[in-house]
Amino acid sequence: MKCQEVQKLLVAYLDGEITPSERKLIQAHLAGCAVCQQQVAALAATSSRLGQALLRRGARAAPSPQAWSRLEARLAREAHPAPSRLRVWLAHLAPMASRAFTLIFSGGVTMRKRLVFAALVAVLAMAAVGVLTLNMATPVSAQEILNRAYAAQTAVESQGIQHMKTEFYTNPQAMPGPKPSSGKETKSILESYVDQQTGKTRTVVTDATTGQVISASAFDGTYLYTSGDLGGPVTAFAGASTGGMVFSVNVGDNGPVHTIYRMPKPKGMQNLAVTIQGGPVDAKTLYEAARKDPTAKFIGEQTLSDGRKVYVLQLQHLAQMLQSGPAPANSLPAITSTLYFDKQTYQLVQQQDTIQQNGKEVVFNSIHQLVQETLPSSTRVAWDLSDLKGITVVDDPKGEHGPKLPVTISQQELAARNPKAYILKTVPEGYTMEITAAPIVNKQDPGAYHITYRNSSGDNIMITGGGMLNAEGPQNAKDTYTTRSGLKLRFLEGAGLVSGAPQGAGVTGGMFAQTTGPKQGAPTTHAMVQAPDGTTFDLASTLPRDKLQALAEDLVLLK
Amino acid sequence: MRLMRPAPTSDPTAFAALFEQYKNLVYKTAYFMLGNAGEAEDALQEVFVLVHKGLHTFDPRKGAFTTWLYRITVNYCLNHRRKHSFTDQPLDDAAVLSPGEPLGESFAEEEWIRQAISDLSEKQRAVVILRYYWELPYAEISRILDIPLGTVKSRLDLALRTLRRTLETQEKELDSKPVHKLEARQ
Repeated sequence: MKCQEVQKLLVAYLDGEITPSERKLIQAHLAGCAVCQQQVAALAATSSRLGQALLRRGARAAPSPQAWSRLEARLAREAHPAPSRLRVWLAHLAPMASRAFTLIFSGGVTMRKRLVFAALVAVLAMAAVGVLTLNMATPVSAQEILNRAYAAQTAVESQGIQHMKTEFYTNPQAMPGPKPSSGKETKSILESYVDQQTGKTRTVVTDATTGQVISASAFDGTYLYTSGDLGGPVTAFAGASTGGMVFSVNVGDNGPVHTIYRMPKPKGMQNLAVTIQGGPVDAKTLYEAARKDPTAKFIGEQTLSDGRKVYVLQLQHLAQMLQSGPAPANSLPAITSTLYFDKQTYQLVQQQDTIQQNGKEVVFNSIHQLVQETLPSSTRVAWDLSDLKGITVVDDPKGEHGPKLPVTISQQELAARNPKAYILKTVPEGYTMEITAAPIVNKQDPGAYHITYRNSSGDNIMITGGGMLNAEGPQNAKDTYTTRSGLKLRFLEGAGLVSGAPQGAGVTGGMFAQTTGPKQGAPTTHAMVQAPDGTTFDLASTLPRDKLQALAEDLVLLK
Repeated sequence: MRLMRPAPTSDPTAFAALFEQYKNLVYKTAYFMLGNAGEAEDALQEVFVLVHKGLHTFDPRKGAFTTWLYRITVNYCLNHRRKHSFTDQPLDDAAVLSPGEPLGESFAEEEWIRQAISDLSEKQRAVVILRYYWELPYAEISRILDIPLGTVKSRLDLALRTLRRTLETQEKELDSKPVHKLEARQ
């Protein structure tokens, strides 16, 4: 045997993976060849060092103790697949948040809508205010990070003044769906102060480039301040995975603000101090959904430019246009959200959303938390916005520029504005019916409405339709029921998530305002309903599923 | 390792037992393949989801359960790296040292080795882990990776020679570094 042939077999020889005849030949060659002897000794040393090092390292590598419980939960979820990502997302939000959307999507909000939505996102970031210092010995998986971030954000402090400063970048041209004609990329800074105990709030948004104020709102304990109305079409979308993150709403250019209207606290807007606490509940719901998102992937650790160490996670979403009219089934571009969590506190400090365009990943939205702190209650804050320069405060005693809260409307009014609204043929015995909707701003997009049936023992049945609820049709539905009239009900998991959430929370520029209406029980049963013509609406109730199913037989198109 | 016919997936208790028995096999393989404890944790989940889905397709007459499990794990890791195309990174320091464990020679040795392993190609890394960590016979590696026995031999040969060269280079670099004397500061 020649050296070359022998050398090819040396590793297998050391591993005992050669035939007896090969072994004899190699041994005979080695006896008389110093070069090959040297080679075999070196390879044997390498192999031994390698084996020992791997053994030592392998002995210390072990799965986390939570591995099985995570897997078990995942398998349970997959055994009962989520009806559709967007719908679950809606289910998690509705009915509480859908009321907020009523305001936003109907154009009934007297705020720059893009910023209203930004404020909603900001609350998500703000909710992660709790400081949970966990120094870990080992890096964790995506789910663990989300779990800890969730734990941190549920520990929201109620003492002191929460101060938050966040930078938002939006590139409407890169967003999924129809492009707004005037939408150009914007960078704005939202700064807010919230005193949980007194209910005072202050939110100011400035253009990051010019430094000019583009939106402001505040409540100083007596008066409500707002920078006024803004019309224009709403282009909104939300990213949704099994749960979801809210991204952004764009309404075109926002010029600088010169006037701020001061008005008494509008009727129906109850104690803000109480309702502000509804904010983190919203965020908690969203966060909970993200936490359960099986698409969450741990990307690695990074150091931000300010020196903070972060965990980087990625979530894959489907985008869905949230606008009037059924969306084409294939209009769901994939969105990647990259989330950056502070390694020490687990706060969500950055978010970047990208979409595939012509084979490239384009950033269309990013959120960058600059400050998040709790100041002492004694800190002086200009709750009346008196520190803003170049701005005139105008008294608006009637609140004409104030938030347009949902109003009660008649069946006829509902039929006129939403021709495809469904209603129960007769009001169930012992129940009363109320129809609420935000005042119409845009006739093409009348927005969402709510039909609520309540009885004296706290049960309720709520139909939410219109506007954003035109989502894609049911897919892979397992838990469904079809009424005799052909309405397809898809029962959703997770309705319990909204339990304890205040009903009718509306968003007005960083403030959560309670709308009118008696306190209701949280729904326990939740279904998305699709009519044969494609119309969809949402059905939620405190009643058990069988009762809600029976009642659904009475749903008719409102005429 | 005792070969076990896996329990039906419909029985959660049996699947929990299956997970308990094989979690280390999957986790450690993924840990060495992906070089990161967080990624290995995710791989453990994903692989067992695949096992759960595909257990009914497993045919014990065609091979051992562990062969099948190693194959799913290695394939997951190869696909994952391809999809995420992250640059090769050395094994992280996850669970590197137990509390109180001294930073001794064995630690330095491990550092060399982990650097060297990260320099290997993914395919080479797979054969190295199966052979030098799990100590599997070549024939088993050939079944797991679905490659001819000759390819296992040549990959291991190449991998071990690459490792040897890397380790030699590291040693040379270390030897050539000037030794700084630490002077006591006033």
